[in-house]
Amino acid sequence: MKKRANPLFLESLRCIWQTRTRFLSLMTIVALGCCFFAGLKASSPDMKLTADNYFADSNLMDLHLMSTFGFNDNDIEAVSEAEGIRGMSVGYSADFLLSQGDTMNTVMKVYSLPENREESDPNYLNQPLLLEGKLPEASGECAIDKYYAESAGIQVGDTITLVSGSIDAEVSDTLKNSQYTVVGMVQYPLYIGFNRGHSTIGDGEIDAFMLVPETDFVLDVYTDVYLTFTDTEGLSAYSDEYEDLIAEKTDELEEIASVRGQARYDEICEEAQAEIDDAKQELAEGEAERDKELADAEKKIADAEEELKNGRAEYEEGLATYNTEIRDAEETLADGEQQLADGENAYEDALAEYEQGRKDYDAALPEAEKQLEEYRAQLQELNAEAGPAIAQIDAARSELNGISALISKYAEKSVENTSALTNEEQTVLANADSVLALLPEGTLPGSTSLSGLLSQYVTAELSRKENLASRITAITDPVSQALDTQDAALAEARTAIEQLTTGIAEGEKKLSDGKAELDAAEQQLAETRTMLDEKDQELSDGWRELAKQKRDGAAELEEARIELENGEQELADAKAEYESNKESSGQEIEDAKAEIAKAEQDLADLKEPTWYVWDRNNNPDYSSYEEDSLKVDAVSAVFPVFFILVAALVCLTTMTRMVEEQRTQIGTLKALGYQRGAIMGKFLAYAALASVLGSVIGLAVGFKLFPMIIINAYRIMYELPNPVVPVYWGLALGCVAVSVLCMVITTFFAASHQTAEVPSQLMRPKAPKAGKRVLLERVGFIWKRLNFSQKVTVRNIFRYKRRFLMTLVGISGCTALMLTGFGLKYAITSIGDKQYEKVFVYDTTISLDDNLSSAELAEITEDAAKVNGVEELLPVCSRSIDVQTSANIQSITLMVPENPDELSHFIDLHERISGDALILSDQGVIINEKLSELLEAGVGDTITLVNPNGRPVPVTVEGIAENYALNYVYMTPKLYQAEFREEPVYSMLLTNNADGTDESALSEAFLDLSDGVLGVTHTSSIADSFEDMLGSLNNIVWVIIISAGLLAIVVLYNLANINVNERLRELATIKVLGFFDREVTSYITRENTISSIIGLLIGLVLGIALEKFVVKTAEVDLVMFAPDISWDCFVFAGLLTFLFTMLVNVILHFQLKKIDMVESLKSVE
Amino acid sequence: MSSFVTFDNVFKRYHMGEVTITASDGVSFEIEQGEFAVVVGSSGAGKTTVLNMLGGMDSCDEGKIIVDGQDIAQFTPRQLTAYRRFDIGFVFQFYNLVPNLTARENVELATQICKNPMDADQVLMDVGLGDRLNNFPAQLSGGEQQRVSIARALAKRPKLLLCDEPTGALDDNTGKTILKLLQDTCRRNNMTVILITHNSAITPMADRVIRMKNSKVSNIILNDRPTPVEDIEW
Repeated sequence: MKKRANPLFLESLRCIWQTRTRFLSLMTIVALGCCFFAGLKASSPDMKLTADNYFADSNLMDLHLMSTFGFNDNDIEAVSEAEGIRGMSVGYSADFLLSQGDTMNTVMKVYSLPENREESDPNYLNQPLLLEGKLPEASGECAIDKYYAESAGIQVGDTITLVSGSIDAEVSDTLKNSQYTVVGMVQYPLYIGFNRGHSTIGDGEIDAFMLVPETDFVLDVYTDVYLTFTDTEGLSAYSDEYEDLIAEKTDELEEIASVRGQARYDEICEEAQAEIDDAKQELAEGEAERDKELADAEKKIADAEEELKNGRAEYEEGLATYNTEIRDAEETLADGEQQLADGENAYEDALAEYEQGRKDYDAALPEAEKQLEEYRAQLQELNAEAGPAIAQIDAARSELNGISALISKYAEKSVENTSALTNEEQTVLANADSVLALLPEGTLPGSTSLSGLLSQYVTAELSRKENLASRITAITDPVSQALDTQDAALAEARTAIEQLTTGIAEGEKKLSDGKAELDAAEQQLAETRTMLDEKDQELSDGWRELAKQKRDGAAELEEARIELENGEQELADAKAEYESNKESSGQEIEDAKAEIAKAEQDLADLKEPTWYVWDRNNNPDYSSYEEDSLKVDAVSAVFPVFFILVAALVCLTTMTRMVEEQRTQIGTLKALGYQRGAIMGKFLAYAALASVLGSVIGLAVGFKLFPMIIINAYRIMYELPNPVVPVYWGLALGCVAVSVLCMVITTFFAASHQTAEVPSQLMRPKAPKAGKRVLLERVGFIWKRLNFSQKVTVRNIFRYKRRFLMTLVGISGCTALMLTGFGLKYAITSIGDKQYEKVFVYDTTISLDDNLSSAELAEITEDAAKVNGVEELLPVCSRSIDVQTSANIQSITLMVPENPDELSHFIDLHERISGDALILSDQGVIINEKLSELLEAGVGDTITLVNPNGRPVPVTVEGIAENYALNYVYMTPKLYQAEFREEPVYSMLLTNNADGTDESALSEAFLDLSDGVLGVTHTSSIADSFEDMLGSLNNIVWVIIISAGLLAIVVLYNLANINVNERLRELATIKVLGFFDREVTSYITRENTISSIIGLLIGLVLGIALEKFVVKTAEVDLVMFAPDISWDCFVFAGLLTFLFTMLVNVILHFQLKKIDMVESLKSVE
Repeated sequence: MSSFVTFDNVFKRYHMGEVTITASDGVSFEIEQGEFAVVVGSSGAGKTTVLNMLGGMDSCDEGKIIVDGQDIAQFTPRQLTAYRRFDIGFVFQFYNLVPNLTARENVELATQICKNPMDADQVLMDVGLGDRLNNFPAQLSGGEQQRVSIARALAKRPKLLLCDEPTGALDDNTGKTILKLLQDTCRRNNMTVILITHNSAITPMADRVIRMKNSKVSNIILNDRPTPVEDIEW
């Protein structure tokens, strides 16, 4: 006989088919619970696993060594001798600024990429994950940070230019090239987040990294050493075991570090000393040379000065001479003029006199001539009378004198003949006889000739002469006497003639004298005139000459002066040049000296090289990733509780109902003699099957879906490869076991109650649950006000207490989850708005170079205030600094506004809850809320600012301000000065701009102000990017919201379904009574709605607590999520829950419509 | 048609998979206003189908069902609901009281939806339950529950009172009092009462007896002198 299937088993199978909706809903609730629980539970380990796999695949270093002096070969050898090293890689890294047009505020970290890149090589550490293009091979190629490249719009094939970030270094000191062609986009396992670390250049934050071939670095020493260890292979990076191992290895390497440090220190000291000595030598030489050069120059200048001085003196002298000469010449000329004038006058006088004389003479002339004529006539008469006698006498006398002269002459001598005598003597000789005529007649010694006697005399011998002379004399004496006698007779005539002759001569003389005088005067006058004219000519020539000389002299002097001045200018220039040369070379020398001094100081200060041994936690993202995964874990611990609770409750209700429905059957089976266990087995199997199927489906979806969504959400904040989402079999088995157990136990409770009854009882219909008055009915004034259907509803609600409770749990859970979801979303996304609209109300930040002098800063500040569109401007000193209390230490930004009174226009410091404005005072600081929480410091407490350049600065907290992003301490300049003992450097400018100002134009205007402007940031853009970043959590929020919605629907539908099934008869009856479909629906859904609303209200209250918990759990140190919940979160959560309720009501409506009224006629089961 | 209720060649077929069951196979009858009519037949004779169709709970496939001049066979579901609401009073075999409502509230459940209801308390007093107004069904005996059910039907002032085996779940005496109440109501209020039963013993008290067999009306007997309920024995 063919063995037939167990009828009970068959019945069970058919039962499942018949109640398939119930079975499905059980399955669904279990699936949802498992899906949610396992999914969230797996998310955290999946996050770690994803990271772990990435670390392992990329061969991420375990320890990273850096040294203040870099690593030389000895260092590296020493490190490589450490125990248990699996892989070791040495390389270079350096920070530069990226040149992007005008701005240079991107800090780029450049890493070397080893030449040998065999992926399986254990020494090839930190293998980059190539996302696009290829890895750099040739010099001048680079692979760039994909995340940065995307945000900066850099593409493969672009060229980027690096510039040095410090004044005293060049890119070429470190790298072969400064221009690199992007050949690939990568993720680098050293960075799992977008935090690129700190730098000493730019704004101190590294913005991006790039990889270049190792050979492009030209450094002497390696900068980085990376290590992995044999023991860490295969260990999870976030496991305690790994951390312990790394701690151990860190200690070991630190020992090596201290040994190598000392050795390296000695090497460096020696080298440095040698270098300093060289420098000193060079300096001394340089100084000597400079002194000599300066002395030469000085001498040259002195010479030139002397020459110029002489030139100047000469010029002065020349000028004086010129002036004197001109003056003298002028004087002389003036004198001449004067003389000329005098001469002219005299001439005029003389002329007048002459003319007078001429006139007189002319007038006297006729008279005088007439008298003269008279005289002459008288004389003529006389002469005619006495004249010949007189002439005879005179001739005789003259002859006598001649004869006498001849006798005396030849008294002692003789001549041979008379011809030897002179002509005169011959004449006298010849004429000697003429005198004889005068002798009276007869006296004459006969025939004696005087001439003959004389001739004999002169020729006669001396002895004869006397005789002769006497003879002559004898003749001549009577002549002479005769003459005297004749004379006496003629004397009167003679006198008269003489008188007349004299008178005539006198008259004539007088006339000729007068004429001569006049002629002479005329002559003289003419001469004088000529002379005067000459003089005049001479003077005018003199003036002309003087003018010419004046001109020439002045020109000459002017030339000399200009020459002199040029000379002086030249000298001044030469002097200035000399001074500046002196100064600059002096400065150079000083600098060199200072440099040497500094080098010496440095050497003196030189500490042993510090080796930094960093593990992966040095990258803050690495540890924050773990924190995030723990947060997911924490959140995942809270949420599934609702689902498990609800699933269990739904299960209990459903199974109870099912057992109740099958009451008669149970009785029948019992009556037939089936064992209680066998009967219960059916229900248990039903529940178990539903839960196994449900949990398997739930797990299959949950293990993949949730971690996928969550990790992908976190991948917005972390740079990780695709999520790894394995199935955790242990967890899976646990989930299945728990859900089956849970279902079976609830079923057991539901069934055992029923199956315990005796068959007879079971076969009779179970007495319907008796109607009961509810408590509310005793409150007459309320009860009376309720209309009929409201009363019915109230009574029904309290009649089915378990269902009511379940609805409350389900709906309140759903609402609470949804409120949490929306609240979390609000808490995260609203802080951008809150931070940048309520707190940071300024529009633009201008970052200036810290190294600028205060004068330069002031100048830029002044210029920036004048830029078009800027309404207000506030210089702020902003420094990164650590702040400490006994509770915690935090990195913060210290803000010191130049003018604290104006701060409120830019940063609105106020207390969050009261909204009271906080005013900075010189007595203390204002800190932000999150910082206060982290430091556990309230108003009046003291916090300590860690001053890197001096003593720690304890300050009192005076106020706690609302703030969401980053942590700030605000302080007045006065307090800053007092505490830090230095002037604050106002290298950040906050501005408020006019409405509608074009921000990009404004940026350009600011950047054009000076090279000292490092960057311009507009609040609007930060706020945007801030929201983008935090928006990544939205996915998780949606997961929560959707799950909560599903939960609500499942619970409500399930309960409503049970409710309808239980009250089928009642519903059919009221249909028969003529209730319209709508009325029937509202008859039943009114209960649903009311319980939902009550659950919803409870949920909103619970949700506040849950939201607060989740928000606190999800918060990071740098951010405070909005601690309040916006009213619209409540509205959305409530509305959505209500919507789900309504949705279920609508579904129910259609189900109720299908209820057959004939049901009402059936007998009670 | 002058009759208050007319069934004119009504067919009703149920399709159960491939099998078609004809539940009403050309049923025709008439009932006058104020009559106390009894439809009697054994199980499966098609009397419940007639009741369902007459009560507006089910529709017919063919034929006319005229009640007070209106062919309800042509009614839309909504019209049918309105018809049930205002024109029909229904008394169930198992009373079908809402357990969570008191006697008065059960009556009010009906009165609140119709246009001109009777006072709930008055009706309950009329059916002899003046002192049980505030009792829940569980606190009432079967007869009392059925009285509440009748009161609920009457309170609507229906044109037609349909009773489905009203005494089926009651003992004889209680059944009789219920029948008496129904008959009294019919006589006093000139209410048309249609009672469906498998119990032929009840037929003498009816003005009209419609016998059904195999989904058909087998015969209709008019009874000019109905027997008072007290005199009937079964």
